Amino acid sequence: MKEVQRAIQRFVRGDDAASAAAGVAQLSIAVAARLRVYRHHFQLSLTQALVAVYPVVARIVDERFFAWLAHEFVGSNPPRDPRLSRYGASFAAFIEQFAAANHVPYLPDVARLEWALHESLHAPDEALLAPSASRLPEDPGNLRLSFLRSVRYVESVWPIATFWTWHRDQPEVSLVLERRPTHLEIRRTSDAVGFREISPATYRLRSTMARGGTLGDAANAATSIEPDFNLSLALGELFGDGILATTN
Amino acid sequence: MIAPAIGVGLRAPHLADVLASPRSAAFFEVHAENYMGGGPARAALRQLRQDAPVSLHGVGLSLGTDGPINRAHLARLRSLVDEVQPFIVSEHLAWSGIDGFYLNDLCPTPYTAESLAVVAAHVDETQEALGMRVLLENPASYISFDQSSLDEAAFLVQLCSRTGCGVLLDVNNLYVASRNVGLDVHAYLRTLPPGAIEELHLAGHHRTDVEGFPFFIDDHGSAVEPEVWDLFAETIGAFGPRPTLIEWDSQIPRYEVLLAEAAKARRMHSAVEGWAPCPP
Repeated sequence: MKEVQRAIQRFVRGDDAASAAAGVAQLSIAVAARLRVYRHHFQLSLTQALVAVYPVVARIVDERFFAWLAHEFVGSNPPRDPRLSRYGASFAAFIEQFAAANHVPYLPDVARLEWALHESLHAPDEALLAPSASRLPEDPGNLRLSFLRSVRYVESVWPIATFWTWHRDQPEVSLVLERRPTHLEIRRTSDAVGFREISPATYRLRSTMARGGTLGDAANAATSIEPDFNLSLALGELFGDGILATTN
Repeated sequence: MIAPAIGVGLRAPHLADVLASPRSAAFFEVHAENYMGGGPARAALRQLRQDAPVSLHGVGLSLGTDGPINRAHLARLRSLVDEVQPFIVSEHLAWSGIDGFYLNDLCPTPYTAESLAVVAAHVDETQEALGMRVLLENPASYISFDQSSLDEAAFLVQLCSRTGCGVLLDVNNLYVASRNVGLDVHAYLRTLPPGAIEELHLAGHHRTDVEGFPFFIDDHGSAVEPEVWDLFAETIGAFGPRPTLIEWDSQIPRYEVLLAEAAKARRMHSAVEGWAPCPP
C-alpha cells in the first residue's frame, strides 16, 4: 500500500508513469491518462493557490511567465502542510534564485510582502497585552515581548510599498527603478490587513523584538543606525500600539 | 415525517449574502482547513454559527495514507470542533499524500484487508480525538487497483462496522466513479446499510473525452447534472431523505443559483413517500 501511494505521489510530482501505473487497473482509457488527472489537479490547484496569495507578483510578470514560475515551484516544493493556506512560504526565496526573473529585481521582496500580508490575515486570534501590564522590569535590557502573530515586518532596498500599490491598481505601469530602502510593519484590523512604513530605527527595534530578541539587543540595533533614537518615546509607542500579545 | 435539511457549502464569494440571511439555507458546510487560522474568516464563521447549524468537512486528515496520522492537524480539527460545535463532522475515504507531503487532492486507495486496517485505525484515532462520530465520503475515482479484494461499498460497510463511523454518500462522486472505473451504482446502493448513511452531497461535474472515451471530472463547477439528480432520487428512494448539501467550488455562481439547486433537492426529498417538506 505504501509503495502504491509513493509511486503515485512520485508521478503526480512529475516522474514518469511506469511505477505508478503498475498496480492500477487497466480499463478502456489508458492508466497514464487517468493518472494525469491527478497530476494536472496538483499543478493547477497549487498554481491557483499561489495566484491567490501573490496577486501582485502575478501582475508584475505576465500570466504565462507566472504559470511557468509556479509550475517550477510546485514541482520542487510540494506542500508539507494539509492547510492550503500554508502553501507558498518559500516562493520569494525560489523567485530569488530563478534566473529568468532577475529582470525584475524587486520581485522577491514584493513576494515577501505578499506572504507577510497573507500570514497576517490567517494568524491565530490572540489576546492583546493590557496597557496596565506594559511596565518595564527592573532589568529592562533583558525584557522580551510577545508580538501578535498577525504583526509582521518586511524590509527592502526597493520602494516595494509603492511598487505593490501601483501594480495592484494599474494593469500597465512604468516604474522608475530607483533604490529606496523601505521598512514596513504589517498589521491586521478586524476585517483586513494593511501595512505602513516606519522609520529604519523603529523597524530595527520592533523587528528585533518580534523575532524574540531582548530590548537590549533591539535598542542597540536601533541606535546603531540612528544614534539620537529616542528609546523611551519609541517604547511608549510600542506599548500603546496594540501589537503586543499576552505571553500565555 | 419531516424530511431532513438541505444545506449549502459556504464559499468566500457568498459570505456576505449568507451572513445577511443566515436562514436562507437550513445549514452551512465549511471546509475545516479554511477556518483553522484566526482573523476575519474565523470571526465570520463564529458569527454565522450563532444563527445557523454548521457542519465541518475536513479535507486534510488523509485517513487513507499508509503512515501515521498528522496529530498536529487532528488537534487543530479538535479545537475547531470544540468552538463550532458542528452537527456533523466528515472526512474522506482517500489519501492526500505520504511521507509528509500533501498533493492537495483526494486519491482513492486499494480496497484490501491491509488498507481497511490502516483506515480503520485512523478513523478510530480521529473519533477518539474529536469525541464524536465522523462520516467518511466516497471518493470521485479516476483509477482503481488490481489488488483490491473488496469493492468500495463492501469496504465502507466493513469500515462502519469496525469503527462505528458513518457514510457521507457523495452522489456525484458515486456517479463519476461509476463512469470512470465501472462501479455498479445499483449494487453499491444495495450494499450500503441504510443506517450508515447520514449525509448526502450533490455537485456538478465536467464531462470530457480521453482517447475517444467519455471521462468525468469532479470539478464542482456547474449545476448538478440530470443523471446525478436521477441517482439522488434512487438513493433517497432506497434510504429515505438524508441531510443533503449542494457544493459548488469553481466558477462559483450567484448565491441564488445555489439556493435554486437546494430548492430542487428539497422538492425531491418531499416527493419521497411518507416525508413532508423541510423548511429551507
